[in-house]
Amino acid sequence: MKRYLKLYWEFFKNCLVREMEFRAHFIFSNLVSLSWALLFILTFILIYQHVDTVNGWARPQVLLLLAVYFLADRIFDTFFEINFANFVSLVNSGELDLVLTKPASGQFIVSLRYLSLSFLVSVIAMLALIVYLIKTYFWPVSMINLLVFIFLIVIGITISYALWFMTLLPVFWWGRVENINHLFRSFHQLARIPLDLTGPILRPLLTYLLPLMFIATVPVKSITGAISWPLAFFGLFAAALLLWLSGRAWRFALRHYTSASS
Amino acid sequence: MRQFWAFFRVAVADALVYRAEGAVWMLLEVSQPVVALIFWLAAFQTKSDIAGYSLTSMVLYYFGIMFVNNLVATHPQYELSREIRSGSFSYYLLRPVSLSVYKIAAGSSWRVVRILFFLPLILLLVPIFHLDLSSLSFSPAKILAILVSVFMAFWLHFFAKMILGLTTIWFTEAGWLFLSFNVINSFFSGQLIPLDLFPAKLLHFTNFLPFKYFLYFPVSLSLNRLNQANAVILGLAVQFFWCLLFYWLYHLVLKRGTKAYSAYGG
Repeated sequence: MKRYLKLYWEFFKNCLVREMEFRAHFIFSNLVSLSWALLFILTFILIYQHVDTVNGWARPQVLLLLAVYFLADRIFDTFFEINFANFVSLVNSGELDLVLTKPASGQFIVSLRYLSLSFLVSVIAMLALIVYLIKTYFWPVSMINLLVFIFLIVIGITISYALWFMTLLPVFWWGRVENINHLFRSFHQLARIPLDLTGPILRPLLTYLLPLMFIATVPVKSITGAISWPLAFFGLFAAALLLWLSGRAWRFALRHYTSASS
Repeated sequence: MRQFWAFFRVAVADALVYRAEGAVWMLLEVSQPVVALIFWLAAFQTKSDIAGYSLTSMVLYYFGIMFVNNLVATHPQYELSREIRSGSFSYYLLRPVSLSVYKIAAGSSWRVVRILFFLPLILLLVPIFHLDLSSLSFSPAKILAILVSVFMAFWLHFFAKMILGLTTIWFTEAGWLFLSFNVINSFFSGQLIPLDLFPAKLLHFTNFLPFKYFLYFPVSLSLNRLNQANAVILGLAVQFFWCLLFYWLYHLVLKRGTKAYSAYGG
């Protein structure tokens, strides 16, 4: 564990230097990713000019949900997205050899080698928005609810990571799918709306089988309502299981790695 | 035109090779309206009228968005940008081919292949959201207006993005510009929510922007939301004006760009 923290610290320093070389890119990409989040939030403010509440979700609840979604999404993008975007070419060019021969977990390196600072401003803005919304609309919140809220956000990011990572692996068989790193995004976007207002088929599916419910809906509910302990523990279990599964799937997929063109 | 068909056939074959890639892009384009619809289904449970939309017309709206967007939204800017950076852009300058004809052929072939993927998916979604087409009516004049409007929307998308792509000549890395365009466009073209939900002042403001004509206008036209003939004609005229403007701008940027282009690596 300590070895990996040290390794990550080196990755971090290296990427920081890299990012700071392109300052204009840093500023523009931060502005664009923030404006996208803000415009999307604005559309819901506009929707709530015409409706008061949707199945118990009034405007403050939905805004908190969106802020949590974009926080989780931008944290994911910061640490993983940039690596996932690189993954296909790593496999298809045979450069993965260089990763596999390193004395550290291959999954660790392909998932975390690079770090992007393009989403830093969004992360800070979403944190500020979350604090503002909680203070204005939901305060007082007990310490335990707050801790569970943070814990569930981490669970949600872990679940996103594990599921997203597994959707990359078919590239070992299919090869030529340059954009497979966007495949999971279509499903991930579901977490942008309160998922407990889905019907009797989709709701259990998104809670237990494809637990996207934990990205934003479940964390927000621990602030706006009562904590559902069974659900929180299930989230922990699901995150652990999926993380383990992603490791197994990675090792299975590696057996089909042809090390092409190297 | 002969040039177009030759390029088109090659590009269709090319798009068919990259089937899986096309499917991923299509899923991504479809997921946003589907997610919005899931929310609207719940919102309409307690209200029957939201900003002039019933549940039926809201479902129709997003299906219209998915359908028209799949037809018109080409993305030539990414490839063009790569070509400019690698120097292979010189190909268009040295040979007797027209850049725009080549790119239109490539873009429209992807659209055709995309529709082939899209139809089965739509058929799957129809029963889920209880799509009801009975409120629609089509006269021959209206069908003609829709076709013209959809074609002009394709034209607008294409030339706007070609202009964006050409800016690579000056910026080298223009990815942030493409993204900003997409962000603004998805908001003001009615892709995220119908523009009718905007407050009056913002709605008025959208009349002065081209984005409405990228998507919202042809969709509203198809869904019977514009009933007066003069509203239709005025809309088509404004859309035509934007088409001319973007076409003219494209030629201007191309002319300036060709002079500034330095063809490294090419």
